[in-house]
Amino acid sequence: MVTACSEPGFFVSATGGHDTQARNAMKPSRSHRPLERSALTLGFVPLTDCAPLIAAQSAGFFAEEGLTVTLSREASWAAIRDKVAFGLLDGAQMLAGMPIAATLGVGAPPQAMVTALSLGLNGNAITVSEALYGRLVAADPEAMSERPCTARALKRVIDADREAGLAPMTFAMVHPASAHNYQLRYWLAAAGIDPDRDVRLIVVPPPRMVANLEAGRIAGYCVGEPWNQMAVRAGLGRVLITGYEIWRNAPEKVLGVTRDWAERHPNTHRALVRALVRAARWLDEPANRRGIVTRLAAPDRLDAPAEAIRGPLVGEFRHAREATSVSLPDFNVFHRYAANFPWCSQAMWFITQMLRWGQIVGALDIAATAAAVYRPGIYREAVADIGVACPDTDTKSEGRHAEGWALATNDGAIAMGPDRFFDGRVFDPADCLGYIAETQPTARTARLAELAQVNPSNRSSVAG
Amino acid sequence: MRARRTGRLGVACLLLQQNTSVNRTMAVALRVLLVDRRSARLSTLRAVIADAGYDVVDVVSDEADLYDAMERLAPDAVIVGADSPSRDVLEDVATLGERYPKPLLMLSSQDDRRLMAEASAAGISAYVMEGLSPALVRSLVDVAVRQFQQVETLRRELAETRETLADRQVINRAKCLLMEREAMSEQQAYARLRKTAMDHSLPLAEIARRVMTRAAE
Repeated sequence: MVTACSEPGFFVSATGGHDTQARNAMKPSRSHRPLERSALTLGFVPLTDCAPLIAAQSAGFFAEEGLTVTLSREASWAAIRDKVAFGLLDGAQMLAGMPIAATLGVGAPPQAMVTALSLGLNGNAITVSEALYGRLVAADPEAMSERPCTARALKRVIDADREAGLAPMTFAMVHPASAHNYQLRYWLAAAGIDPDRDVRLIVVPPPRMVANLEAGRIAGYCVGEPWNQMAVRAGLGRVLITGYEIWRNAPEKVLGVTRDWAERHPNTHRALVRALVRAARWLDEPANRRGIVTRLAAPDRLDAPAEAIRGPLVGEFRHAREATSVSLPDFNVFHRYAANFPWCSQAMWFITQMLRWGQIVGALDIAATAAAVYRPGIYREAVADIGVACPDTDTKSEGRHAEGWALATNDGAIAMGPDRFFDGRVFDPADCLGYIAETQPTARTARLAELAQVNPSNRSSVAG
Repeated sequence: MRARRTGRLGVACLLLQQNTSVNRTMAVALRVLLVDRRSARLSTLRAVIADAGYDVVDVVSDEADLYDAMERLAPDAVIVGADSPSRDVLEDVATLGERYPKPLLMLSSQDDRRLMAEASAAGISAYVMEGLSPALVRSLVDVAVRQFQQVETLRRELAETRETLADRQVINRAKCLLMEREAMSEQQAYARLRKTAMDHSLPLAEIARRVMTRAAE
């Protein structure tokens, strides 16, 4: 819990990225920009959504950009952040909220980080134990039959437990700055459950989720794959709701580097982004997805059964052992829907959640912070000559589209996916304060008056 | 709990002013918890840290309930194997309030940064209470890093010794095979292996291994 830094000079290197003409004038030519560094070490965490890194290596996209990459498997997000900060890794797969948390010093001393690339959308789910599932169905069969599943039945069970004088149930997620944490909290809070008081929320490393569920130490969790399918396959747990259903096409992982590294290696950074965008595009082909499964399952990658990885990756998802697979083609999105574009507005959404749950104490300029960390300008330069259409604006609203829609750009229209939140709420980046005010269950640490002072109207061009 | 800590640290800081080198008397003030996956590495680390004058409050497996351990033991500092998945648990504990240790990503000076990078490379991470004496923390991390580096060096030496032994064995077997099948003398067999190795710019043991594999097929 560190007071956020908000002096004006702090974000000097933020790029606006609105000026299309300037952007076109700077269009890079691959052959004319020598790499500052060609041998890179990148960190990844053994989860299905590290696929773009594995694919960029095995399908040769790194090599085609002149990069020799060593992939280093890391046991924790903390290790990823530290090794990137110390320069032991050039960059890494990171939780989408992590470069922001690191820059602001949420939970650790501040270290300026940036991302110019989103590695993909969705991929999480909330699983509960069979025992809790039984109690939920008994408590409110109607709520449990609704899709998407709300936490209304859970609220009843929690209230009953409290009346009986029982200790709150424990739920797990993977890191304080993870999308999992914010999704689980969002889902609980929407049913009137206070995630800090009505349940005990802890961190459990993903590979240990199933064992903890089996031992009864946790009643449920929010995690990425294959750790939901592993519980389902073993008959130990049931998936109540996928991350995709909580927030359609939510940002999940990014490529994170230190701001210093990005400034010293601009050409290398662009080459790296380009290689990973090409790998993500390659992963959009169903045949390539099927092909990457065995590589992901390998002992030096995920070290998990291929069958558990394959299902969700190819869009076949099981909610319970005896249930048949349902088709969820967007369970993991790696490229379509402008999935690789680092939307400043999505960084702003993460900041609103950090404020909502008291991770950021004190006031900060939300838009400036987001623009200093999420760098769409670098992304646009990187993909300028590989035929990838880019959004013209850095922000868009979230929650207005229940179905797919078209985003008009100077490069032509981009087919976008739905972006609905399961409770129908809309996030307008031009009104972050209103969003925080309406979602904050109690007056927590973020004082809205102070926030209003450092956030003069940020209304600008907002797509969607 | 706050008061207890401040009192102890107050003494430590006072002592630090009198004597710039960290000695046993003052280091007693720092209560350290060790968390690791490998128990063998832990027990030696415990001895070394205790010997440096720190108070090791407990040593726990990284699969233990760290929320409970942190609450119960209230350590000033935690030393954890950097390859432990439980580091993310400690990250969460750090967000629970001021009375829990925070990730020691880096201290202020360049030297400290170097030390922390060295620690990370050696496989050590530290979580410390805010406001601890930097000298005490630095010395603690330094002790742990040196211990881990020693263990790592020993491990590497052992692996190399094993490899050398295995190499020698396979070279001998290949030599015998050539002597038997090609009716060569020991010297001729060895010369053949060495020449092949030089022609292919490969280690002798690798050629020997290939000879054995081919013979087995």
